[in-house]
Amino acid sequence: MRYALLRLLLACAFLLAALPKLNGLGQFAEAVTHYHLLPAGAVPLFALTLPWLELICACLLILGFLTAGASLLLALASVLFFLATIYALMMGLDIQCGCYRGVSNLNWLTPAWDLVCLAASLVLFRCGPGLWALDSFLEEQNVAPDA
Amino acid sequence: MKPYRVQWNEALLAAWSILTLSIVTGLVQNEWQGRLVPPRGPFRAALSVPGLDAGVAQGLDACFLDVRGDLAYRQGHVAGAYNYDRLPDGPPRGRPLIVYCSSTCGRDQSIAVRLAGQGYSPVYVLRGGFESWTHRPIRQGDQP
Repeated sequence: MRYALLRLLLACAFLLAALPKLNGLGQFAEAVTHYHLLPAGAVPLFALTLPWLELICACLLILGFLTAGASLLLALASVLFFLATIYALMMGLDIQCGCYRGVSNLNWLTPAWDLVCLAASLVLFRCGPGLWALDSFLEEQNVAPDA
Repeated sequence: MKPYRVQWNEALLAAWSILTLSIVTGLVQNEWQGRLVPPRGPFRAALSVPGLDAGVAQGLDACFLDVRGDLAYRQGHVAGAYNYDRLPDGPPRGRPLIVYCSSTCGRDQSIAVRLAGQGYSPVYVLRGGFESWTHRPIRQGDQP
């Protein structure tokens, strides 16, 4: 039960992160360039891919389908966000976060939140989707003939 | 109920599939909705001071645009640079633009994107910002 709840909460967090980015891809690309971490040529692909990655993973987590793969990707994304935000804060960059709608400038809560997301993703990856998940249902279907 | 065990092969395959799907969907959306993000990046390029020297040697006649704000501009700017905040009609057209800020402000990137969107081309960002402009002509005061 608690893993199912964690799965849904993590899905909501990434859903809320993905939708504003998809509504303003240009602004998100700008926000990515402000970190000065990617070469100019790599920014478009990253800015176009990340919101869809978050959205698809969030939807999969809600369904409880391919939970291990989705949570693995979200864990990697969280590590990436954590490193990028720490770098920007250490460099003293006064920039927009580009994380959620309404969250304006980068502050120390941002990498802390990334760590929370990382922990949640790793727990889901390690412990499975919990109740009300397609993965569990499909696994039971596969096991049933042997039982 | 069987205890859960991570199937690494399945997890990696699923992650790879999701990543591929995300890339394809993003690219399709960008083409479908009319290049929300330009394929070569939001601005033309970042230009370092040595790169700029090489460009000048090849005949680059660029216009500098200072986006650090009024006070910093008055205290010292690249010789010949315009103060972006005092250009209601935008910078002059017809010459390549080099936008610079301080090394930590980040405003140069967004203004370069905006100008590129307004049809200025090419628009460069000075890598390292004003701090990289050392031992070079600097002026104080208002617009050139």
